[in-house]
Amino acid sequence: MRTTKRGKLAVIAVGLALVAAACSDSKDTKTTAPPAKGGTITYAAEQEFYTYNNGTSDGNAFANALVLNPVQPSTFYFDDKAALVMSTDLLDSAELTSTSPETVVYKIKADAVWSDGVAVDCKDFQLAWISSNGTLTQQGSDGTPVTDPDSGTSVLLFNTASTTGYENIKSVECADGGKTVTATYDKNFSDWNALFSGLIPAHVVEAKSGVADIAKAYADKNMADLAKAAEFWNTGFTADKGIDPTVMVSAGPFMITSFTPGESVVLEKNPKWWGTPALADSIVFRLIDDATQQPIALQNKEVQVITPQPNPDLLAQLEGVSGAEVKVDGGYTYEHMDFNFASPLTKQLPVRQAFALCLPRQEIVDKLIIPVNPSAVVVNNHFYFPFQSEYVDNAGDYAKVDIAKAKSTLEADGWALGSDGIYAKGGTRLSMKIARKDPNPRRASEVQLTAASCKEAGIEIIDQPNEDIFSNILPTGQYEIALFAWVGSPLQSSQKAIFTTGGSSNFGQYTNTKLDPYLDQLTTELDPAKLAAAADAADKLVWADVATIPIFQFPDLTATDGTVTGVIYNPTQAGITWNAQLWSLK
Amino acid sequence: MSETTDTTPTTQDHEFDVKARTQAQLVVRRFLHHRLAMISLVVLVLMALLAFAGARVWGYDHARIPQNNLESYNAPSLTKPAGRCRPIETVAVPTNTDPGVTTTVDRLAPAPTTTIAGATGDTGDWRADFIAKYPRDHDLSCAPHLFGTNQVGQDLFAQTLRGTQRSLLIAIMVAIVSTTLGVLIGAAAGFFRGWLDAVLMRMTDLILTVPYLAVAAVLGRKVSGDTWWVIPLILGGFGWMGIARIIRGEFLSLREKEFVEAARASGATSKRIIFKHMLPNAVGPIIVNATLSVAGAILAETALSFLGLGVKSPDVSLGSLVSENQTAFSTHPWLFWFPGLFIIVIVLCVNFIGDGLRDAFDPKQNRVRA
Amino acid sequence: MLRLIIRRMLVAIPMLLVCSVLVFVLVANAGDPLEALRGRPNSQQAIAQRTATLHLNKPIFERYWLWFSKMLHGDFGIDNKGLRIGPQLWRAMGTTLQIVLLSTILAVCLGIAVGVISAVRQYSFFDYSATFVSFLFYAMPVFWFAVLLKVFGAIEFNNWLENPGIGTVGFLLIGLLGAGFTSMLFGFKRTVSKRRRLIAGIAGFAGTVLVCLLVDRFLADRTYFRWIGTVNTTDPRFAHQGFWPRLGDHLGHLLLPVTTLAVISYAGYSRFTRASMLETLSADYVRTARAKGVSERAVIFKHAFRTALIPIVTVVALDFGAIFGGAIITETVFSIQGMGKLFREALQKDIDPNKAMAYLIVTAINVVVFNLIADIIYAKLDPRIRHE
Repeated sequence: MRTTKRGKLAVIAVGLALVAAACSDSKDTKTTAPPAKGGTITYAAEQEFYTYNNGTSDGNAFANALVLNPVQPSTFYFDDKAALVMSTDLLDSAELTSTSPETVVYKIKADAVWSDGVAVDCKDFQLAWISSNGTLTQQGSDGTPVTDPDSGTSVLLFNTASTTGYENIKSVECADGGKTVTATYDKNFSDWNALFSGLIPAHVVEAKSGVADIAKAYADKNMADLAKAAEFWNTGFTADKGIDPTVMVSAGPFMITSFTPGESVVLEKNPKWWGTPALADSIVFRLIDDATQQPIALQNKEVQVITPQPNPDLLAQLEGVSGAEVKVDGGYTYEHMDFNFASPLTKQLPVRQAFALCLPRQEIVDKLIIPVNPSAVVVNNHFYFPFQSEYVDNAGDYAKVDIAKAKSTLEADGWALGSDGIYAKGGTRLSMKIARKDPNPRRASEVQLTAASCKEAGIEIIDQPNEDIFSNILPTGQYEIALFAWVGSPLQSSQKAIFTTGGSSNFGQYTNTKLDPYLDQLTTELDPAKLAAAADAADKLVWADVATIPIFQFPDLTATDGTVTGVIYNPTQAGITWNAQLWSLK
Repeated sequence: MSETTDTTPTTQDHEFDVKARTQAQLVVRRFLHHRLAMISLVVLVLMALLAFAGARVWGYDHARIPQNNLESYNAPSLTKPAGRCRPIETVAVPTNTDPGVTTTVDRLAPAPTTTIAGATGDTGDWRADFIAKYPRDHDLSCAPHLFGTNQVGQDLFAQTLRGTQRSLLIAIMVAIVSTTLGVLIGAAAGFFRGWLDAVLMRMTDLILTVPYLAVAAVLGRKVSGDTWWVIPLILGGFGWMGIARIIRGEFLSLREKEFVEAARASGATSKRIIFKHMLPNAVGPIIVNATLSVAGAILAETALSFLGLGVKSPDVSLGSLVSENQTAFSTHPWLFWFPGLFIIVIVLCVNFIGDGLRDAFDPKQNRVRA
Repeated sequence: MLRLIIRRMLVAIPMLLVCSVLVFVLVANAGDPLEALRGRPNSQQAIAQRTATLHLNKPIFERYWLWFSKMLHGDFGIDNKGLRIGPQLWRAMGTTLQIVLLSTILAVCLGIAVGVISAVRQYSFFDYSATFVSFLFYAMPVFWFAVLLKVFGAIEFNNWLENPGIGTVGFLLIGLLGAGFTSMLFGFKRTVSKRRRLIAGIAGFAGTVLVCLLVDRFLADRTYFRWIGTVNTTDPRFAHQGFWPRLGDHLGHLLLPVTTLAVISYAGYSRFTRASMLETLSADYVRTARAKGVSERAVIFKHAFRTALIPIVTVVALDFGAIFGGAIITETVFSIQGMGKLFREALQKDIDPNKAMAYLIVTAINVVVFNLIADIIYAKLDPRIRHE
């Protein structure tokens, strides 16, 4: 018996020695760590980076954009006020030289090169246009275009996320040895400065797909070559094959140097970067997909920057992290209620008006959003957000809950209060279903508050939760009101699909022939002042029709452990890494 | 080792049982002498009483949110919330069905309209402003917050009691569903053998290959609203395989026993043999397994809640409370500890009871635990 | 043996086929894989693309056949992100295998050791404490325990590492632990008197405090790296370092998740070992061995333990198969991207049909294979089976 005991003790001793050895190993590494200034800054990514080509419909994800911001060149970028600013690193100038036809001339910096030494030039712009202009469709073996039988849409050769803007461009011409690019539009596009961002290196696509010149193949309608190029463009940039330094080249302050699936992406300084050098030596993205675990990782100093979806518990948790700097702002994603114009109830204007008058938007914000974002306000404009200079409060009568007015509006329309406290007209009770995604406790509370308030106005509200509302509820039309959020954008051109007659995102089938010309103008107007005026006019019409009611902006959270500087929130789809080159340890 | 060797087998050996106790009496006696199991049983019964009876008299409702944010993150306390306490009054209200007939209900006396001086909406004191803005929400109970409150001001004690109710109910339903299924399937397979046995056992193997979490995830997406009863169906439907195998084994050996032969020879039907003769002899493993599946079900429900597939808000279970409050450890520790400790105590108790039952049913054990 | 394996395989294959059909129907009805796209502006093109890749417009049996014929060639298709699932699957299996294997080894060693001692010293103080501890471990919700581990095992421990030292309270606590340990070691035999146990305890206390003093002197004025990780399995900053630092970093990250998993399985194994040992210890042949005058140690280890081990080994094999697809919560809490990640990405929010199928099929195969392994081990170890 004794010998076994001793054996056990020996095992324990060895175990302790191992721990000690591991500790001292770690200590060695500390002495070799880089100096504090600059240094390595680690960001907790909620989703995993998975492709270098963020322009494909599969690859179009925020997680990729975050990594690619400081890697791929863009003509313009969104700053922290959501304004598009020309990248003086990439361009000498970008000028709108003509408005009819719309012509934009870009002059690329002479020393702009990809990290493999090839110049950033016109070819990259041409590839962006060819891949996303939507003219090339996939062809079956018999040469006919492949189409989706449900929608009749033909499937594109380049699996692009969006053709918006690029489809308006007639040609992209090169001059000055590729350093001058002239884009000519056949139909004006208002948000021209949002195009040619996150450029993909054309020389890599050509080299890897074995196509000598994609622009030439496009001009010659060489479908075989284009199919080869598209094949690589669609699938060649995914990270599941690992990081190929000859594929994921950089023309930004940082380059991708390592990728460990399921763990991390490491960006290090790009030695070929011609602009102002980045402050940090490297930016690390560590994958922590359960947001509730991020504050603990911050507290354990495993990450320095986190941007999880905020909730009161998470904020409270961050309060407990000593030294943490926490900031919450309203972003571009906004909650709203859409009416179904195919429903016999909500197609009546007085019903929509009465609902807008009893919808307790301020109460929803006070009770559900203020605890997370103390500076949150009700959004009273469909086209601009409160932090933008163009924002105008167009809500008018609907800015505040007015139960009396809601009732009088209904009564003027012939509705009579029933014995159950609910209005009715011609045997139809004023009972409306609000469709929403489930499970979602916040939306459940929103509907609860709405139901309580509208009951006072004699309107019955029924919660209609469903796990897939876009598939199961909205297409069937079996609802009165839809509660969901749009991932908004500062680009006015993106609004058309939501409000225009027959628009692809106009689920409620709202239509107003007076509104449609303004929406068209939003996509074509080149004068910013006129654009804002058109958006304002459009907003007033949407309010007058009470077609959809915006409620609040989703709060976004930015927290650091207090050891880094330069981390500034950006409300747009660019995300927190928009200025990663300015991040630094204190 | 000597103390466990002097056992005498007592099964069916009535002629040796000098004190002439029935098997059931023996089992009960052994269980009653199992001190830890008895303590656990008492604790569990007390907790169940607290959960089911206590929740009825407690001053707060588990779901009600005092919608004025004043109660947000109150620490546990034994004293009444100062200055915000109103009596309960009995009032007559019209019934829903017939406005002419009234009924009486107990409710909190309505709040005085001007409780806080100068609450006009711009005093700079957000609490006062809030009450001024939302007068219809301004009602609070008198009871102290024994376990504190959560972010939206729900009383954690009320929630914990409600959660205990739900968790116990779910767990007992799981035990009933899984034991019934397991016993029926195991008994049929073990008694009839042959092709039925093969089919049933392959089915058992088949269900073992599908992770219950995946099925729960799919069904959890499909059902919405107050559908907590789906949880015990899923957990029970995927939890009977163990007991089925045990019962099958028991039956395979029991059916060769003389008393079964005798029953068959005297012309008893299969149904009668199974339910009158064989099942009573397999009652030990059945009861022990049912007890232990209660403990397993409480934890499985916790796992479902963690993945967002459990009981849905505003209803709560211990699992949903624990998973909701897992982040509160450093900032609002009461939210973390109370529901967690309730789960631990319940599962511990159930396991000790199961352990005690196992010992009690074990014929080889006649030395009881100290 | 070969016959047994072949017979079991012949049963397993049709069962897996039925299973695959069942889960395919389940996944197909789980939800609309286009839901996220439909809620996005200007997404008709993407919807058309995905409908084509997932064959959503084809009837379900045709879709199953398309999926099945590809799967037979080892092609699991592509997921909603346009990535091939195969490599993700192998990687996820590797990651999960790492933590599951380590935790199983840990749990089995601890569980069997404690279980055997508990059984041999049934109803002793050790037995009671071991029973209580394993029931306590078993009763804790996984993620609840993980929070405690993260706070005390990682954050507090790392803070301590940055400024290490043993305070007075530390001396006392560790000393008491040492005292308890030695008095238990020496007092293990029932014959040992109370006085000797006390002396052993005091000696243990003194010895531990002495060691602590030395360690404290050694630790003074040093500062260590924050070794224990709470997320992922590596720290990318170690990527360019040598083998030993990387191994140390890796272990520092695996420590908490492995402990979490091990603690849960440990509870089961120790209880099971105890029960199994108790049963064999009261078996007739053990009594015979004792009667023949075989020494107690030989009775326990040669006769009882070997037989008791048989059911334990099979239970471990079965558990290993089950835990493989079911370490979802532990993986989520510690941000480890194993099989649990596939589960979450495929089934939890929006449905990713191919990924869900890959996860479910691999889990099912795994369960079947480990069932088979359990059967084989059982047949190998238990001589009674071999005669069949």
